[in-house]
Amino acid sequence: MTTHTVLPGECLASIAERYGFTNPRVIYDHPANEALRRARPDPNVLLAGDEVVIPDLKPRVVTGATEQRYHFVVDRQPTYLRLRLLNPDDTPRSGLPYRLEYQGQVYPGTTGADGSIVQEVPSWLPGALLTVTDGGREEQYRVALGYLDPVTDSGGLKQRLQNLGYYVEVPGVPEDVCLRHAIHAYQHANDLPPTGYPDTRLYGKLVKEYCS
Amino acid sequence: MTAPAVVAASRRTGEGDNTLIDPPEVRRIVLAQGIQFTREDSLKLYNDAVARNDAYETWYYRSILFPEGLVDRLPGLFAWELDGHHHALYLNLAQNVVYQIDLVEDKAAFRQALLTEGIAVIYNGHARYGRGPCFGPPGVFPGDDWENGSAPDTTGIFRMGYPFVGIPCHEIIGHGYHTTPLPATEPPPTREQCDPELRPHLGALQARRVSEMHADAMLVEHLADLFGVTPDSDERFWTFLAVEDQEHGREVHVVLYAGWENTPTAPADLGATDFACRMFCHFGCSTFQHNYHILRTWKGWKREGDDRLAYWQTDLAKPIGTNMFLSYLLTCPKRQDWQPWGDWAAYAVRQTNRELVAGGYGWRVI
Repeated sequence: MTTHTVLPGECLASIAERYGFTNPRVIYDHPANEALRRARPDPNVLLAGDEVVIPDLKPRVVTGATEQRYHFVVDRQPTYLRLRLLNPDDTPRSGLPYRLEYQGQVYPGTTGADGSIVQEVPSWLPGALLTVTDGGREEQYRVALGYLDPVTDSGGLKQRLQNLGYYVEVPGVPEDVCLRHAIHAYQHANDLPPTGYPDTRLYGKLVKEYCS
Repeated sequence: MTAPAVVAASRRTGEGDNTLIDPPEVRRIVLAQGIQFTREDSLKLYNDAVARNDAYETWYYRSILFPEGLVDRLPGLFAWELDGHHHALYLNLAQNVVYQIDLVEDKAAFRQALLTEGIAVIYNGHARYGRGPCFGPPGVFPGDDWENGSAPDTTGIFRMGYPFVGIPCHEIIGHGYHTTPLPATEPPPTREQCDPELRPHLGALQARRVSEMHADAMLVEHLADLFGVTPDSDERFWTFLAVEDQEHGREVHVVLYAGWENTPTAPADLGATDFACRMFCHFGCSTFQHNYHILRTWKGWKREGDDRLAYWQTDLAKPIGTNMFLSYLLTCPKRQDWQPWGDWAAYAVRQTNRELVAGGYGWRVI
């Protein structure tokens, strides 16, 4: 067994691929990673610096006769980029043409009835450029994949509040003030005590609304 | 198309999503509070009212405080203070706009706001009989901050008035500022040169020595000093008799040089300031009569579609209308991000006037 220290942009799927595992659950569910599971209940959202125990790969020995054909099923879990585009009033932005670009390829599509975009991507893909056309207006997002931090980290909290339209960098306003305002606004909008500081209720509500 | 927004997302191997909402627009409003209307001035009045246990005045003075009065109207407002300066942020999800409100209390910051592209500037304070927004430190002290400013860059009037105004002697004496009366050696001003409140008196102008302006010899001496003449000077100035209030009765009013361009306060005057802001609200007394034509016609800062909006007050007013107006801008119930400003401002004007009517107040926003 070896211990891997998570780097920025890594998730369990990319770590698993790096170490030759086709299913990241094999790593995540290993008894040696109990502490990691407690700290990071979502295996897709790790924090740089987290330690992941990598179990030894166990070669599977199979026997077979020559001149015979055998089928092997790989226990592979695909990795997706899943986005849900919403209007500020939480209604889905459905039926919008979009283009997803990465590795020199363009993947066009239309957002689903729930505003969703689902695209299978390589587990190590660091980013993609999303262009959405809405009423003749094009908007672009550079999606930094694997960079979403846990909600309990101030960076992860900010990322979710930003993606949900609460955190905005206001010119001339210190970053910590912008974050406190975003927390305050989110708490106020969700009937939580508007303290401007994070707590477990905020984390829970935010993860539920953000969906990861 | 603007630069792509950078958003962090998780790769998903099972359940879960990354929710992405159209980022809100940031809209900046600068609230400029004038002399005697500073936060410290209002806070003192509020604290005094609390100490006196005066329920009405406690309510009133709190309602004019920024940010407290606005927080009372909008509990979602996030107020903060940095280096003694007060600010607020407010996210309206329905509008998809984050409002950045900055309080400024000096003339340089006010002028800088007027020169800032794409923002709204709201002045809340004295109209100085139409001479223009006026700034000074907290505390009601006599001196030049009521006219050209003791520190002309940061205090005194930002001139945006007609060339001449008629000012009662008690106002000049009470505030104790040096000023320039119109000598009777000059021809009387024309109607077009005069503030609307001076025009009805043009037919009754009289040339008076300073010694003929007040019965009290000590006050004559004071007035002479403020005019830069000796009390026994034979120089005469254009004046008229009128009643401004019951307390002072019929008294001498003096025609003073005012103006909007090439004034002693330049570059802090309208002539030397090309507004880049998108909306300007002059919430002093009767500013529509005093300053509308100066800005719109003489300066030529005309409305262009949904740009260059300007709003005024129709009559003698109190500062209570400003937080009202601000609150209605921030709560306009329609989506506003990247939209024209006309409907947004019109909503605030309409709602503010409804509340002013309901409260029995005698002025309107126009």
